[in-house]
Amino acid sequence: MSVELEDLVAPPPRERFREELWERAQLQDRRVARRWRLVAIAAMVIAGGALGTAGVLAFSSGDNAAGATTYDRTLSCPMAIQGGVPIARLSAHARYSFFNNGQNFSMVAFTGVLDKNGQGYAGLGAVRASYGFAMPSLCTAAKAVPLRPSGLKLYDVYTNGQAGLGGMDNGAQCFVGARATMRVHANIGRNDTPVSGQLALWTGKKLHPVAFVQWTPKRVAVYLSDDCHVQ
Amino acid sequence: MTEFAGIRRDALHAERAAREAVSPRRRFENLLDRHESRLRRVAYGMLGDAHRVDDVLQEAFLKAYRSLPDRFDNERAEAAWLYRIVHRCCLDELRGRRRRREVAGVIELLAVDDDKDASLVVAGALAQLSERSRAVILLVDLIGLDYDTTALVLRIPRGTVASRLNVARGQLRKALG
Repeated sequence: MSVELEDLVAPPPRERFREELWERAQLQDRRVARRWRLVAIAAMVIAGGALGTAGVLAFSSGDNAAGATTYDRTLSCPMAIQGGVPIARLSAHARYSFFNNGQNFSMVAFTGVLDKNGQGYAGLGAVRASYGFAMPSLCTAAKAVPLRPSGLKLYDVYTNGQAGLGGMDNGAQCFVGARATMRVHANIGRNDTPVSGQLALWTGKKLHPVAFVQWTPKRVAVYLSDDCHVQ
Repeated sequence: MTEFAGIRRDALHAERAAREAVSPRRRFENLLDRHESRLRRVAYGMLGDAHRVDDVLQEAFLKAYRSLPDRFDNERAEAAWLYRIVHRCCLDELRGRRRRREVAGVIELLAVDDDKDASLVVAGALAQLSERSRAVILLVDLIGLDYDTTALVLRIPRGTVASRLNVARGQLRKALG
């Protein structure tokens, strides 16, 4: 019998091979998410302690990396009306990619407050010089709001590869007053690109928190009030 | 400092396009649909053990899925990337097997099954080759990758692919009798 290399026949995949693959992938995702939650809790405890004792130093010290700086600004801006009421649209996601019409698209990690048309108010993203306020001349300086969830419920945590809020949908639509106070805090790395930061949205005569985002390019934690709805 | 300059455009463009997007999972499924059967043959040829092929491939696919790049420059880059991951996982498995002092299942089967199954005969012959020789002959002669892609997979110069292939062909001919 003449035998050749081409005679090599691979065994067929076992039943549910692909299903098992995706089940294992999801299991890994859940493990990673659990780890992140623990890290987030630890980080919040540490941050709380640092803010309590060091106060403003926590913001002015900035990042330790070479060339790193900190951006921190709070402004009160008039909010656009949508359907008769002022609405702020929150977008928040880590980096992810998708394939459309034969092309791959890569979406940068980003969080921001936008209006119904996608016009930005404030935000930060993993792109050079992309942090702060889009129309600072329309806004007025305001007293800083806290950089923590301030009682808001954790809505979700998005990591790389997840569309998050505003990626595959219209984001979270939040009812706000005629004006909203937004604070952008960003740790700026090399090339003037944010490496981490927070975005806080407050509103009302007696200011109350509406949304808070703890952002890094690879992980985004979103906290929302009951005034926010995700479509 | 330019405030909030480029990000809005990027975000909006991506938001619009994302609504019709294909998820990374679907992208990866598509990749597997095109390559899995050939990867399976390579893995079987490398391992010589039909019972371990599924587990090793699953490990490799998980690693590949986790590190799936946003895009590939061309088909060659895509193939080289995927085959390299599978090849590395096969080598890890073989190393682990050596540590555990296990014997490939196919060799045991050959002892009792004689040469009735051509596929088993080939697997047995391949098992007599070195891992280096096996890899190069599987990628070039079985799967049909060109020398350049094989060089990318194995991270060796093109000339080394040619010389290893020459040696491997001789060894396999001898092993197949």
